Amino acid sequence: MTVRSFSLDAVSLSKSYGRTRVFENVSFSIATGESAAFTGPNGSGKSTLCDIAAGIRRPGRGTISHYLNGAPLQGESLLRVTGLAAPRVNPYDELTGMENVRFAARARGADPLTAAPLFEFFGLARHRDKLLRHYSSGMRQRLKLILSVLHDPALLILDEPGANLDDEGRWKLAEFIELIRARTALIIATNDRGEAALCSSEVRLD
Amino acid sequence: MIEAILANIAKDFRIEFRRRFAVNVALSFAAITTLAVSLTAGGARLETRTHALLFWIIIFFSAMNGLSHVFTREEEEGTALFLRTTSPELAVFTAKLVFNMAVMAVIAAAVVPLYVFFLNVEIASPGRFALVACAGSAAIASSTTALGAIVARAGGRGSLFTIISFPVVLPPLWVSIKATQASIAGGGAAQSIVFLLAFSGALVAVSYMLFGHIWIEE
Repeated sequence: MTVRSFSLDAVSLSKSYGRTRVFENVSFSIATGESAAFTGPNGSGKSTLCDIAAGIRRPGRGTISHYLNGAPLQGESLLRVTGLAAPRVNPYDELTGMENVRFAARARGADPLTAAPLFEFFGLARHRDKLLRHYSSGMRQRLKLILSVLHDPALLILDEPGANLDDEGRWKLAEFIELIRARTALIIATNDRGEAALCSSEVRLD
Repeated sequence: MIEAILANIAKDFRIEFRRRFAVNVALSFAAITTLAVSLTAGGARLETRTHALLFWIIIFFSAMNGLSHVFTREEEEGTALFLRTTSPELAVFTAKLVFNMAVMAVIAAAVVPLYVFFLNVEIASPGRFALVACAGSAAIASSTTALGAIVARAGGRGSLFTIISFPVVLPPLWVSIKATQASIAGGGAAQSIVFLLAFSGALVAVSYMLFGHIWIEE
């Protein structure tokens, strides 16, 4: 595996929708091997901040910069090194689990064969050829996690990763995070203290 | 980028093949409208201008029933964010444009024989007529694909798509009607076909420039 150095610097981020302020003056930094938990009450902007960190939403004010091995990232280059699993990120119901994986891998320039051990790890190997509309909510969550890490992202953002997972699924998630921690910058948005404890720092949104 | 475009094209066609929503709705509308026009005409001999007008009205409204679906589906089913996290915006737009071109090709391929058969149209230059139908359909698809994304982001349905598409589609529609009239009567249509292709190219170029602003959330 290649050695990589990713860093994200967010300075004085603010976001409003119309007159409704979501959050204001949020700053944080994260680099490869580090992790941060976004915590705060419902509506405090955790998911919005995840989207901004992933580069799929623009902040109202402030700056956010992503670097890989010293080179700035944006657009397609950022997309290729970022993984996002969130309740609002839904794969296609009309495709099977494996077809969703093939689509995501091909679109990101990754190898879909890397998904086989992930399907095994998350206990979905038997269900990979089922249409997604026949998946349970827990199985969907496991597939979302697979899709987010398929391309070995340098920045992994997990928004409520334990949602709909049973005890075994949560244990697998914690185990997986330990496996990838050293070579990934990890962000977890959660209200679950157990998930927040998986991270080395906390960004509190009030 | 090429791989991302191909992945998106394959995904859109696979989902449409399993659902057949966009094509079925558009074809049903085209068939019903052509039949209704034919029954209303009641075998009367229509002028070439009237034929051209009715032909493009059927194509336009059939297209409006099918073209916006490719983006509204992504927003309605909550898959748009998954798409944003997996594919570059230009790959998404290109794939949707190819899909809409294919939908227009299917609509034109269905409407042309239906219209000619049911309304008993005698076309003096069938080759030119077919070229005008292709170029006009391509212009409609080119000019409305990015609008489909705007309507989908606005949570809009088909009616809103038709309303905001009409001013953009009006120039190619007008030229297509003129060229169709000429081809039915046996006249030349080369300049109109060049205009329709140039219009398509210009609208695609503008859409590529603007699509990032439509696609990335504020």
